[in-house]
Amino acid sequence: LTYNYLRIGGVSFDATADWIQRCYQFLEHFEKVLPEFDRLITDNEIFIHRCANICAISAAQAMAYGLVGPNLRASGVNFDVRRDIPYSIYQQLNFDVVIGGGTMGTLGDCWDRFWVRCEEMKQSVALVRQCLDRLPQGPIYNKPKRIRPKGEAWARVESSRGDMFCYVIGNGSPTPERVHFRTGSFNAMQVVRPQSRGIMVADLVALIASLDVIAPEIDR
Amino acid sequence: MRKLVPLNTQLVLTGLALALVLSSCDASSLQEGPIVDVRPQKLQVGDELIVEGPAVKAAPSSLSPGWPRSVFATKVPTVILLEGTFTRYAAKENEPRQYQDRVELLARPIPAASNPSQATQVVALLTVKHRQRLGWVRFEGRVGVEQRPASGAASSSPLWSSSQAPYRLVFFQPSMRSLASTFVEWVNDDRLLAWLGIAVEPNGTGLEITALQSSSSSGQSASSAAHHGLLQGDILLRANGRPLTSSGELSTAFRHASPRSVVTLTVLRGGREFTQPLSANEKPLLLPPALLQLLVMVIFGLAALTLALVISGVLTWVERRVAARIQSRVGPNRVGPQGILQWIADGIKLVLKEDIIPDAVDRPLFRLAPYLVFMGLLGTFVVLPFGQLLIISDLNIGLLYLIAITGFVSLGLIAAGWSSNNKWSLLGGMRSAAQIMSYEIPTGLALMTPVILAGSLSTQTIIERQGGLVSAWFAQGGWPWNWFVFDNPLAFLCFLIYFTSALAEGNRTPFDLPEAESELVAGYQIEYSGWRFAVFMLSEWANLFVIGAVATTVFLGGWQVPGFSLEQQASSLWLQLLGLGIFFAKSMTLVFVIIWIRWTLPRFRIDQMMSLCWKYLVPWAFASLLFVALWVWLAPEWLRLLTQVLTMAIFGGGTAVIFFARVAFNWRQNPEAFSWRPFY
Repeated sequence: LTYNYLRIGGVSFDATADWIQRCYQFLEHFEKVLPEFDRLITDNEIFIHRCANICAISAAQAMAYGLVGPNLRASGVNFDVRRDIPYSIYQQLNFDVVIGGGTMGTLGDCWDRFWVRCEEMKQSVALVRQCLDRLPQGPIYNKPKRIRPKGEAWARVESSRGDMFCYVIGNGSPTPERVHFRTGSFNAMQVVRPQSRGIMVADLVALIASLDVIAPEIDR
Repeated sequence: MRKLVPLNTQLVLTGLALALVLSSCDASSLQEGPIVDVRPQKLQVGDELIVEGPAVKAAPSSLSPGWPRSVFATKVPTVILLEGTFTRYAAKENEPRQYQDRVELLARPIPAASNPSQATQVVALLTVKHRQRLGWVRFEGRVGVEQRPASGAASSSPLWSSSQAPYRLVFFQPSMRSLASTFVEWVNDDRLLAWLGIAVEPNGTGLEITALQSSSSSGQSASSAAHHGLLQGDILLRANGRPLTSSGELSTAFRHASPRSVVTLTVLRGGREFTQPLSANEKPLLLPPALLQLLVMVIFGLAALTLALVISGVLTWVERRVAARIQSRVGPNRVGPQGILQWIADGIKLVLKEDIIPDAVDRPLFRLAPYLVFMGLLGTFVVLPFGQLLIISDLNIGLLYLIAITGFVSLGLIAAGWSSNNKWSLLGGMRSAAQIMSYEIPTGLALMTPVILAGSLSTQTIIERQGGLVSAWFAQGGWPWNWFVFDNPLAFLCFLIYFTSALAEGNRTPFDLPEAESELVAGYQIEYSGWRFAVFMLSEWANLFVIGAVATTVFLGGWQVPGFSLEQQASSLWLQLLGLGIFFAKSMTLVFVIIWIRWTLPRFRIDQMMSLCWKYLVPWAFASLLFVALWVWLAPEWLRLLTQVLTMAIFGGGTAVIFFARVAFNWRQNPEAFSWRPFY
């Protein structure tokens, strides 16, 4: 997570053949475990009772509050940066965008958000396998040149918690004038306030957990 | 009184033998009087055998109808007569030994007016002297009351006698508690009689002086009985107005007398009664019998405490290892072999921690609360039957006591939540109170079903009644089809209700709302640290064992060793140890299931938990209770046996089939996930 493996210009270490082999092994193991999790949790009666129809966020509200990623798709909005504004090699890869369907209750409830994430794990397995298949040989790091740009630039990627937007303004000096990261958790936290009115403490836990809010991402 | 149904051929044969014995009696010399009740069915040294006549209808009479007035004649000793087949199980004999015998127990009459049952009783105390003849013996046969002319008379023909055949009585070995008080009585009697310089023998009406130390040879002439003019052959009837049937009562009278006072004896000499005061001055030191009992209680209490600590300590390790296995981790495996001593390390760490009491707490309550919780759980160990002879106290209100004593737990949790002065603590405490009080109802109702089936609240009796009635190897000694869980379909339902509600009462997942870490941090125990926190933890895991042990006792046949009768089990140390092992194996299996559930199921929400209790468990528990009551009352024996077998086949078999089907399904899905190694 914070090993600084990914860095501007490349990555810090090359993938060994052994590591790639172990990656394939893990994918095989993980694919078998996922249905087990489904049987254990997704279809669990108590879990469904705790999550279905709890804090349903409508598509309009989700877009109004700027929810991104799985939270947005769970509300039925069919949007994925990887597919709709493709970057990197996503155009060459085959994957489905999972959208919540209100299977156990209302569209956009806690169960939907959970289910979208579970299905995305399955998509991730397929994506990782495709990437490993076409992993190129060659240098892993190209040291970027220090430049002093003037003007503004943006980029957005689909991170683990949805659309991550980065906006940089340069003024010709070595340090940029402004850098802004727009992340999923910060916006997701805002929707807790209107959604949590009149619910129980236990439901609040389900709501925050289903939004997958992590504290460092809120702290901007 | 519920009589056991004679099912086995042994009993039929006994009945025939009895008929022969009865017909050979000279009926004309007997004056028959009715006996309505003989109780209790199970006795040990220190218990009283009560033979009761019919209740008196007309008001001021103290005599049961049909009983002769001579029963109250003080000059004629009354005995309770046990005549019939005695079956003794000895440790070194494979086959029980049966023999015909006649045992007489000196008894005293009690008038109907002083009994709540309004019937005349004849009561005999089982003393240590009867230990040899009436220890681990089953009696089947005639129970009578006899009176003879005063001792010394040549004729021993009974004045009157009465019987109803056959009665079944079981005489147990004396418990530690009764032995302790008996021992103190021995010491007291010895000292007192030596001081008085007499030897006495009870003869039914009183204590007969059989030997007398002459006052000249005695050093303490002033205190000796001879000095006071008592003679050999005198019968001491009463001391300070209380009747004397054993020397223990004499020493009790002297023990209660203050040193400067006198003890007034009523003496019968040559058919004449007179009173003789005896000075209690310089009496020997007489110990209260409760003293040694107290010592025994303290020893047993410490033993139970140690057991509870060790069990709950080891269970913390078990839980952590099982949880780790379920979550594909290793768990604690460093301290001791496979980490089994981890709990000691944790305990030492917690004791050495700083003992923090926050400023704003209610100090006395805050410090008391963990011990209240632990007391409620340790109290249950008193009635947990670890083995046939391994129980601290076989209370006759066992299950009621168990339900009552666990009330301390909710008291302690509320106290902890309230006194912590922390809103999350308080929420946790209130939740636990609401939860425990709600779930106590289905728990209690579900436990009453086996009580109806067994006809007793005593935990030992409940286990014994799960031993089958027929004496064949496949039917006696707690095979699964004898367990109450398979007695009928609704008993099985009651087991499930009990198990669910016990989880809720013990704050275990999926009902661990009072300490829901994602909602309430740690519930009522947030502010606790160090030793008091350790006490909370220990009670939590002690409770785990209590749930398993109670379910084992009440529904799963307890310590019964399949294929062996109660007496066989009682007479063999190896079967006792096996029974202990069986009890622990069953309890630990249930504990494992509880741990398994905890790491498998998510948590309920508080309203869902309450609606589960009040809308589903309580009505079903009531319905089961009603059904089982009617079932026990109305269903014939053959139907009950058939139902037991069918219930076990359908529900027990069904559970096993579902379990193995799931295992097979998961096996097919991912065989690599299976590992037979318990440790890694």
